[in-house]
Amino acid sequence: MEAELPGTVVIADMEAGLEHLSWAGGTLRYVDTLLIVAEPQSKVLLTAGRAHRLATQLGVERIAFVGNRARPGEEQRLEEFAASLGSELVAVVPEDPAVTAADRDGVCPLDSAPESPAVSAIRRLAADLEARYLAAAPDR
Amino acid sequence: MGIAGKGGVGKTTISSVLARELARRRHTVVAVDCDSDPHLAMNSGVPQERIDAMRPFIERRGPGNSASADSGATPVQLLSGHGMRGPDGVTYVMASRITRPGGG
Repeated sequence: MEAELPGTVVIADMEAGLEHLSWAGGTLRYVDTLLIVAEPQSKVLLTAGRAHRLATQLGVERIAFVGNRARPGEEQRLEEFAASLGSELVAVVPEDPAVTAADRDGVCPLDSAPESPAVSAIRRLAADLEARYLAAAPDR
Repeated sequence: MGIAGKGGVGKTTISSVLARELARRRHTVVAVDCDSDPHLAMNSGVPQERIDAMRPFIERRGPGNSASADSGATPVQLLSGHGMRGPDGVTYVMASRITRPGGG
């Protein structure tokens, strides 16, 4: 879709798991960038590693990991995981009660806690992705 | 750009903030909820009554009643028929929504 909508950033929030990376479905074949969200738990990293392998086989151009709900000291585990796959950890979003509260209340944490640690980390990720991958936004 | 991972890891939270922050940075952003149990619009601050009015690309209401939309439509046509403008000007679309059980 992105290729047919020049200048538009399309963000696809996928269904959990790996179906969209299978050859049968394979809908993620059409993205240029895949961010795989991972928490430090082993079972989450197992899924993240599988997603990375499948996306690589599908030929996704850029694949990177985003750590989430990381507690102090867990960042290194995520870094090592990404490095072990020859990939990159582009952001680490810390565990943050403001996000838990936003989830409970059904609101966007960008509205309820825009300066909280987790929201700040995701906003920095947006700036970073912009700097790396996106053409400058047109004046509008 | 796709956001993937195991269930419950925070894909939707990250997608919702990322989409709105990029829109605030003056990009045109389309956020696609590819979950058959969609929550992205709610997590992004779109009011529930507007979410209820959204038309997914595919609405599955049970056996033999899968309203699949607009094969052959261009992305621009799909967005004008199914898109919902939300906070910060992000356009939200849902790939599918399952509202009734049935032998798929």
